[in-house]
Amino acid sequence: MRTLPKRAAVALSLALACLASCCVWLALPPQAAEAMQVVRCTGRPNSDDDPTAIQGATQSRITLETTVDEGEGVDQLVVHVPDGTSFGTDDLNVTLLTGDDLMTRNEVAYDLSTDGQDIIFDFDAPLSQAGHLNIIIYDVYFPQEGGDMQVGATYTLADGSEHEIDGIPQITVVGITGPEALSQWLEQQEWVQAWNSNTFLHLFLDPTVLVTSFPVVLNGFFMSVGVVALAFPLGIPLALVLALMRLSKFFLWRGIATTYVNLMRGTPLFLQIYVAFFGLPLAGIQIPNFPLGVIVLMLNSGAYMCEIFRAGIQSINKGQTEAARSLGMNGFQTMLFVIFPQMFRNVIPNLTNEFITLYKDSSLLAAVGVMELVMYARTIVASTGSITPYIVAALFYLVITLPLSRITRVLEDRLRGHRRSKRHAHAPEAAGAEKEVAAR
Amino acid sequence: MSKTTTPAPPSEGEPIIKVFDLHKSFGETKVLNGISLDIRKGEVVVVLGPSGSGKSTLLRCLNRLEQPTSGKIIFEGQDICAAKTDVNDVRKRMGMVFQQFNLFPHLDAVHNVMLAQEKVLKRPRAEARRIALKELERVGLAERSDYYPDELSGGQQQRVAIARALSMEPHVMLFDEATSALDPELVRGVLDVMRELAQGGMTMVVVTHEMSFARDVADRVIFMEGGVVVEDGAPEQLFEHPKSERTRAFIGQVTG
Repeated sequence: MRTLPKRAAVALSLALACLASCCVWLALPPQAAEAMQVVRCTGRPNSDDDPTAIQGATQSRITLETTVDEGEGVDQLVVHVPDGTSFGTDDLNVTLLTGDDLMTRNEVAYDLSTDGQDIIFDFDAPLSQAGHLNIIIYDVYFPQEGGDMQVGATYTLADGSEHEIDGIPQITVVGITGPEALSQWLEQQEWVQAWNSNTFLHLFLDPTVLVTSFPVVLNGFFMSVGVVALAFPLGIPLALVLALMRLSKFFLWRGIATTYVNLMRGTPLFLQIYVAFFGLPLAGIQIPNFPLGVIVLMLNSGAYMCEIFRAGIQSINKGQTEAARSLGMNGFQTMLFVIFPQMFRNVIPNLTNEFITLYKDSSLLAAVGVMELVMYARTIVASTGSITPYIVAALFYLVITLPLSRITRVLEDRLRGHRRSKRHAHAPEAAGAEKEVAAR
Repeated sequence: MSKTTTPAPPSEGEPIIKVFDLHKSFGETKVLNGISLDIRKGEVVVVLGPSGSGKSTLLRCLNRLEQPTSGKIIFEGQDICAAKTDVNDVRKRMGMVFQQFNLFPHLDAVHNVMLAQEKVLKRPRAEARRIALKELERVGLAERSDYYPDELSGGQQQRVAIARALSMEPHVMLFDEATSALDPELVRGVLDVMRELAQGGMTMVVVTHEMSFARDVADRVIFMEGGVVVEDGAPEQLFEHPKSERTRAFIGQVTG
């Protein structure tokens, strides 16, 4: 339990306050016109985590301590909470500290009302005992963006004269990001606390870590998508050339392409990444991480897509080539205008699968320090000790892979079934027209 | 483009294709065993014979879809098997229609007919489209021009294939069992198109099993068996008074 240090802190601050007030006492002889003088005005977070930092959008407390002169008769005190700061008045503490050492605590009776940012204290009996008036507003949320917060206060004396308390020090509030604010808000929620009391949930799905790791891991998401979005399209022309080489009649082309494909498909991508990232620098070739990652993934997926394209080309009926060639089209034209369009349509599901695989495999680049999804997640895991950022990373993989595999399934269904066309309804009519011609 | 090597088509009655001692083997299997024949301009030649007799192979050798093992084929004065011959240049003057239609499934009817016009003959798109629509009209499918092959019946697909070949303005049309893959009720429409084409003066080499077409339309019927020409003559002679016993047996089999 950490209430003990809190008490200690309060005691310490009170002691300090006493010291400070003594100084003030000595320095400033009481004057009727400035009966109330500020002793201190501070902001503190209510949580025990870090009592020195005052953050925006975090439950905090404002402590305002002023002097009260003897016989002055303070009737009413209006405390102006800084603009943009939200507060509640259910949890207030108003105490008059008296005695030589200011250690005597006197409860003060008052009526409370609010007007906008103003908290109005109407004292049942005018304060006329010399001492320090200590007001703590416990339920305060400073603006999320932070900044210097100015608390204001005016008081009314028994004679009806209004006075402002000058020189109240500003409270410097540190701004925090939205997710941090959300995280802190979540931390206060009972259901989150209940959730986190389960070790498993706390470790793997801590909501407070979830919201803070999200924007960080998002950077890795962009990086991963970027690597694959470059490597994949670049791999397609490579794969097409390889596929044509593998289908070539010339043994040398065939041999080169086959060797390449067997090498790339027969060894782990992990190994290829190691060879490229550790081997090339040793050979004096310096390529920055990102482009090198793109190149390795491109070379790897080029080999896999080569096989997809080769199978795709071979699956096209030989009659298509014969028909094209019989019309006088050369081999290149036949490939370009007749075979490729049909082949591409057939291999789209396989290509999508290859994209999914490549996207997932891009995580292997974390092993060589490329700042991608897993790498970003790992840094937060290291700093928070929670596994939750890895779960966030998983979500970022799924957000791509699930829709894509769904699309793949739809495309496969469409390829397997007949083309759905609005003209399909005319099919019997077409047959009928045929008979008409036949009857002529 | 070898315009200089493209001779003018021979006048009516002149041989447009001359085949000399054509042999073709697939590995150990000899399919053609010395075929010699002339095809004259404007002639409709029907090639008959049992399956495996080499009819289709002969046809496919004529536009070099198959490479002859030996022998010579002269098309419009040009040896199509010679090394210097641009085979694509030969093929654009020789249309071919396949048993399985072989339409391009990713293109609709009109684009099937336009593709080779644009890519091979370098016709402008608008002209290619105009000609394509004209040829589709000729085969009775003008209103199906934006249909994809899988939306057309077999007979319609084969007629689009004929239009596609015709759009190249070939000097000779080769028909490789053009009606064999069709349902019986769809055969007629295709045969009608072929008949009209024959009446229009097109030189045609037709491999078919349609005896009535051979009898009615052919100027000449060639009967092949075992990779050789067994009998070659006018349809009446071949059908009514076949010289060879094998021809007689075959005719009896398919008509009886």
